[in-house]
Amino acid sequence: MNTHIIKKTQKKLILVFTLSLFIFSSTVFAQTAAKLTSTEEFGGKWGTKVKEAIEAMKLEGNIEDGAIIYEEICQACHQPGGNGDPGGNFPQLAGQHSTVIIKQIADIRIGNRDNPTMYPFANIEALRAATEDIFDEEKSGPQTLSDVSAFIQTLPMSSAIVGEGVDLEHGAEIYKENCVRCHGDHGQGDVKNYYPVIAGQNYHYLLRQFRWIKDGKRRNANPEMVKQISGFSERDMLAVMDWVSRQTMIAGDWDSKK
Amino acid sequence: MKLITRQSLLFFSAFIISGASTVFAADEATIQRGKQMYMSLTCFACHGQEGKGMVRKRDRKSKKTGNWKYRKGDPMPGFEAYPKLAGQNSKYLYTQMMDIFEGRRNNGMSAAMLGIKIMIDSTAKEGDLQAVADYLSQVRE
Repeated sequence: MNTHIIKKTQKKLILVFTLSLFIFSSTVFAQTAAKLTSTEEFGGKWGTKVKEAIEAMKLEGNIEDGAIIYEEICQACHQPGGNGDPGGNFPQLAGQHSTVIIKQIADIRIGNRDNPTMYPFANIEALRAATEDIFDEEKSGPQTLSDVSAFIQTLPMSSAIVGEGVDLEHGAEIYKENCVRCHGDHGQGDVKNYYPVIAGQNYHYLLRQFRWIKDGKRRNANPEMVKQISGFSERDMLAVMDWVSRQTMIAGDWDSKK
Repeated sequence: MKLITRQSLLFFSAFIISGASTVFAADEATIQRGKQMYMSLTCFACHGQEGKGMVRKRDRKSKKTGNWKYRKGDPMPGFEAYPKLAGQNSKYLYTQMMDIFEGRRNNGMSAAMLGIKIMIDSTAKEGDLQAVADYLSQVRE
């Protein structure tokens, strides 16, 4: 065999191979940077494939029933107004998007998010059993979840526990550069893509979750957020969380249209 | 006259012992405080009303068969691994609470309780946890 031809073929093959590898990897990275994951595209680390969660998100939530369920199951720790405890141990749920509540409960149940304290309250069978005691008509687990999260979304977020208030200008600036794309211009989140409301959330809770997202301890964090905040300094974090804890929701923030 | 007679010794011991029993039993104020804190520290959310465990609040019949589906007082699904506390020894309750909050006990669902430490640290005052233990220990059926 002519060695000269073999060498030429080999070189061509190597060239084609590295070129296609380059094209392939660049398109993959281009995809992940461009589109925000939508509710329809469940999957991967961020989206939820949990059957009951998907079902719950499709069901119409009965707010009246949700109020009764909330009082029975969630109120003990998250308080009657849904504002949580001052120390930020139990987060404010008030005003949170129903889809966010459903997704977090699902993540806790399947072990995507470590929260042993919440286990019995995220257990879909336990939720169904609890409402069996309250209502005469049987209610499925997903319906229970849909009802209670619809109710929670109607409660007013309190903005009661805020930071030191000494670096808010810096906080607003960093927020504008980093967080608006997903959390909105005033921390209102997105009900369709289940980006959480952070406006008015308890400052201590925000700090803890932010640290855990950054350190990888909160394993169900959106990977894009982990990347986005990797460069935040301690000062950045305190300033942004302080600014965020003082924001308030406005009418229209909960609409699905986007 | 003999100062230390058998009679006087008996009388004296009875006097001492009756005083000692008030040192060991918690007073009414502590028990009331414990009852209040048992609610405000959210303990009832997992350990049930009065520490009697998470149980069914009503009877329920199956619509199909007419047999009892469950009775009032039956264990509540989802909480089978959470202990009843009513009537348990006060000293045991207190040491277990401290062992869990301070990381010396981490079996079973201890992590679930450790998860509320932030709230306990910021809400419970000196003596509150002991009061809760005292309250629970004297809850009867």
